[in-house]
Amino acid sequence: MYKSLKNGLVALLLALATPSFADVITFDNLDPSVYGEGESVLVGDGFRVTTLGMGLVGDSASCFVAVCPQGNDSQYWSALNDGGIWLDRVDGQGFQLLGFDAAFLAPMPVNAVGEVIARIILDVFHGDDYTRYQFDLPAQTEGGGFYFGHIDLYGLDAVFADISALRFFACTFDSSGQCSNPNENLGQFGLDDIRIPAGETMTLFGFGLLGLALLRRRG
Amino acid sequence: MKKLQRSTLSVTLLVALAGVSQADDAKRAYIVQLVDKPVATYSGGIANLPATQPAAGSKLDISAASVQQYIDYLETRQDHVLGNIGDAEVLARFNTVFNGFSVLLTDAQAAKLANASGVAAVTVDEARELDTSYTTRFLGLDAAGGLWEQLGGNAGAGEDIIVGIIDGGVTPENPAFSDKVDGNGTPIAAHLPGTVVYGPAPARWSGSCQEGVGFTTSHCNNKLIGAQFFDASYQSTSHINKPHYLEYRSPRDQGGHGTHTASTAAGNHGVPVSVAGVSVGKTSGMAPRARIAAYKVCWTFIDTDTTKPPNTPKNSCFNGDSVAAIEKAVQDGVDVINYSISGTQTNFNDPVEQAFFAASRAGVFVAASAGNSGPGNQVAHISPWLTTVAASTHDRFYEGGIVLGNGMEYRGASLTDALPTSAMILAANAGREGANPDDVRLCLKTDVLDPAKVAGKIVVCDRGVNARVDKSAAVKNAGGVGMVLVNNTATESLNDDPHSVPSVHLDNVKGAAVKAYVAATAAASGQLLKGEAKPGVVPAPVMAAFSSRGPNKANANILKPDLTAPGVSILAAYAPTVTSPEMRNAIANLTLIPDATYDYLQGTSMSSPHVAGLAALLKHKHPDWSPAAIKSALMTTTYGVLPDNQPGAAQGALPWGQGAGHVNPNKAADPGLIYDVGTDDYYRFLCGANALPASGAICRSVGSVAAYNLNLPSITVAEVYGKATVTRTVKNVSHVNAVYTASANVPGFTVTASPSVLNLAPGQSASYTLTLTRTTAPMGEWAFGELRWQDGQHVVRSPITVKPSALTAPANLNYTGTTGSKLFTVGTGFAGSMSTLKAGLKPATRTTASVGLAGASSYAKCLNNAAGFRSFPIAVPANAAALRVALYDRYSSGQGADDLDLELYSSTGTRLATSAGATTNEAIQARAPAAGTYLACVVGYAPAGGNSTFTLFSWVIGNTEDAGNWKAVAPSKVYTGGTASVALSWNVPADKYLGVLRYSDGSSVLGSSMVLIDAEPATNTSKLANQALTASKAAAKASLLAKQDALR
Repeated sequence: MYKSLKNGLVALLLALATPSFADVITFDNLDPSVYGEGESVLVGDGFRVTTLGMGLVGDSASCFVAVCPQGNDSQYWSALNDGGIWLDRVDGQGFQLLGFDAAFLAPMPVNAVGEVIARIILDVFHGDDYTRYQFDLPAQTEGGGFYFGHIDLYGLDAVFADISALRFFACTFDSSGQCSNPNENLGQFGLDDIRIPAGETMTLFGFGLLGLALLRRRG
Repeated sequence: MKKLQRSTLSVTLLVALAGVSQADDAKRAYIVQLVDKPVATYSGGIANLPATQPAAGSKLDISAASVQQYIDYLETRQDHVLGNIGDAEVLARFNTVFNGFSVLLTDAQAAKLANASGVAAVTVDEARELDTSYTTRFLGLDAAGGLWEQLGGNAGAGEDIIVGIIDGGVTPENPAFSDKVDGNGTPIAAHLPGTVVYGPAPARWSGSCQEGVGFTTSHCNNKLIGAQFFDASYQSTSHINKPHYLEYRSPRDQGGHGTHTASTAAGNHGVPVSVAGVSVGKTSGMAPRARIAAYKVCWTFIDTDTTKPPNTPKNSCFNGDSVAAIEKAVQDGVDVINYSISGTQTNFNDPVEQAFFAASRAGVFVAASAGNSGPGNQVAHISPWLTTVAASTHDRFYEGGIVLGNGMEYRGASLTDALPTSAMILAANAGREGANPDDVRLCLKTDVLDPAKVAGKIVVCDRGVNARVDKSAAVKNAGGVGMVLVNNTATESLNDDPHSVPSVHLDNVKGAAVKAYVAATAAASGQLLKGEAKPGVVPAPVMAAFSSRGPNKANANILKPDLTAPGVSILAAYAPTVTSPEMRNAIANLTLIPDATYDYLQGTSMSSPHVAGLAALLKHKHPDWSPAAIKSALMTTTYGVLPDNQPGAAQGALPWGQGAGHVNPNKAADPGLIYDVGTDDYYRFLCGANALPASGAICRSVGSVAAYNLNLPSITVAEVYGKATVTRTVKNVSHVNAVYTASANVPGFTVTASPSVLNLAPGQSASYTLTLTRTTAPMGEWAFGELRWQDGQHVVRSPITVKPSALTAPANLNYTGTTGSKLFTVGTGFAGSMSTLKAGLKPATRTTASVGLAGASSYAKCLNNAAGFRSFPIAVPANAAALRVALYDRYSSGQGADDLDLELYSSTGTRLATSAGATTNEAIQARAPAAGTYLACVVGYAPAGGNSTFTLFSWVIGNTEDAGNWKAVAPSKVYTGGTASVALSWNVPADKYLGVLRYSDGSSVLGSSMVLIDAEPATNTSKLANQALTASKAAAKASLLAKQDALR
């Protein structure tokens, strides 16, 4: 199993001023429901989630056999079976991204304490081009659970440009250390608190940082 | 047997005792297991108490200071536990192979004990039943270079190995158990003058010769070194089970079973035998020089079944007495135990199974009978530490014949003497006036044949209905002088039985020719030829139809039975036939020394001691081998039995019948490789099989392993989702370097061993994996194959049994709330697309009624709404997806204080299911029920105040009945051996709902989940009188229900 990067790497952030007027997509205003391929749902403030594969809006009590992520008392989006989401605005306007919370959702109890099993992959679209970022999802804790990690994106150039859409999905590591998607329905994650800065506050955060981007690809 | 365990709200105790009608103050025997390990498996961990488990290959020294210190500790803890229950009468205490005691308790006391600190389990003491020579030659023991010769010949084979026989006692006068020979070197009864040819018992022996009725210490000798009896549990039932006059309260065998098994395992070599006055040669036990220790645990009492004639004897063996005997045998220093007594089919934690587990950890090999409930799937003694023995035929055949008056000669089975030419008559023409023609044709009763027609003649009788030997007895009784026994079908066996008159047993074709001759000939005559031994005439071995088949119902990943051995028509020592109370009393008061007797018996009871004796030989040859190593050597050197005529899974040649195969002891002496198993391996298995609590100290310490990865010499995987990988470790037990190469084959699978070559020095071990990947094997059907490791000298063979599965999904999904979204994981054994099919969610149909106090239930009472019963017809259409009926405490007037039960009957009155918990929370459900009108019956087991008003909830869901109030999504693509998340959500008004979610690969439904959604507001459960639910109530209730079932 791929041994990674410190657990807290993705949580590294600059102690910068937090935007005063950020919009946060929490999924809490939605009815608990499941979504199939291509189904869309409005998630607030003009944003829309379109399902890639299949997904579910629910909470940490949703799982049977599967291991729902912990550390989140509210509703979140679960992307299942190597699926993900496409996030854009209904009005087609551009937007920017501050960060999000994410956790691995194991299909069954595993014994891999301390090991990073999966990464979340974020494709930031600007029109037809996109920039890809990958972040390790927090490793399994001693108690066997997987907790949400807080991923902040200060300093990543692309998130401050005029984003047309975001694509989230997860890859999982195989025995050779390769992180793949699709990977036999193993790529699953919980996603919550997608933080979108409100209007002009964005320009404050163009500096700073730090090796969060592990891979980068120009599509 | 199930257990009373902490937190168990509803228990189902199978009670063998009669007279228990409800929870009351009546006491009965329970076996209480405490949490500390017994001496044989204690590996340390308690301050100042060193480990007592013997090292591998060592025997337990019960006198060691550390052992005595630990026993003191255990007894102190036992005293503490007993302090919970005041006036308890302890029947026996155990510490060596089982930590606990058997004790008389009320149900309430049992329930209290089940919850006491330090108690692991409280189990009702259950009664078990006894399961019924030439075979040494059939097994090749006396062949040149065979195992006997390797161990010094028949005068040395098994020397000083001690075989414990836990059974019905022993008949000490039989020469099989004597330490003396006559002037010719032939064994003679120990009470007769002769030369003692056995030295003193081995130094490690610490057992005793227990006196009792008809048995004194003088009945033991240097061959029969021990004889003890255990009856505390049996005696505790004396208010119900009245002793039969035939029984002796001593180690003396009443029924002959214990004598038979003991002599088969380790009886003397060269004992002359005659049966029914006919000399049939000499017999020998498998390990003729081994010493025998008899432990009597089976007792004959008067059958309480009032449908049987008065004073009908019944024989049972109570678990508590068996545990006591196992305990004593291990303490005494036995090397091998034979246990030809029935056992659990489902429970690794059964007290007897657990005692044998500890015995095996103390280095004692245990052979146990697989059971005589074949060809059904009823295999008993399912634990991996036991060697569970099936029964098959051998090829001993005494051939005789008849020469008819027309000169034609027909040969068949015969054990009897010749008979000069005599007149012949068909039994069908020899009946008394008015006798039933069928009874006459079958020579069924002693009074149906007419002596005037039969006298001086050979009678031709048809096979069937009554015992074969009873037919010749009927002929003799009517004055006949000979018999021709004729089979009815081609599949019936030929049996060389000890008949009362000279006889021959013919197959159906020859028999028909004889009958045609007699029928067509006015003065028919025939001459019977003497029966003589003809080895090789009968194809053998073939599995006995009665031998219980697998799979293992406790865990289908453990192959049972393990192997097969001769168990049909086994000739061995027996107890004398007691013909009168006077004769019995003469034996009891030692004024009559009975003659040695012998008999032919069949059963896995007979095959098991064959294996026990062979294990004694292997222990003699390899003193350092563990019980698991001996079992491995016996299993990996087997050969396959011949086909039988059983259908499907009952076919004897499948591993469910023969296990690994038929024992081949000369090969087992040098198996090349062995699969050994250590104590922690067994614990990991028990943890993985949920037989030990995952949160307990043992499982936290050793972890767990999938059952199919226990290091057994058989490979069984019950659910293969496309691919399974099994791990095994082998050890080279030869004295030379060896290079083994693997080959394996299972139809419909590719099988790969890695590594495929093992290069092993003497004593070296190595592990390998075996990967089984499904290719074409049908889903849901067992596939059978084998793995061989070969080095040019040895073939180490393991049976492989695997079942590919397409899908595993939760059977039931229980959710609450008017809205919700949930996800769960399914396992997939195929690659491709998967879809879901929904039916429901459908609200319940509610029907409210009242019911009073019920007696024993029956279909008629339900149908007629007799007092205490209310029934509700439920129509189910064709192709329905589901049927469910339920009761709830919340919807009964007692609000938790009522105890109503629920039964479901088919339209023809067959009871399909019962839900009988200790309150009114009951439910019965069926997927894809057949069309028809079912009858749901509410039984007023104990309504509060004598009457209860209740609401019956019922659901019937049509095949395509989708209410559109829920949504389910599955991935479009699934993978072989993979997982898939399935998600569902719903939005419904408050009610109780049922749905069925089925999974399909596009062409067929692979599985389904029942979805239960309680969308009613939560209840304040504190208002319910659930505290009325007690284990004692549940236990008493289960007792009654079991008793009622037994009477059906």
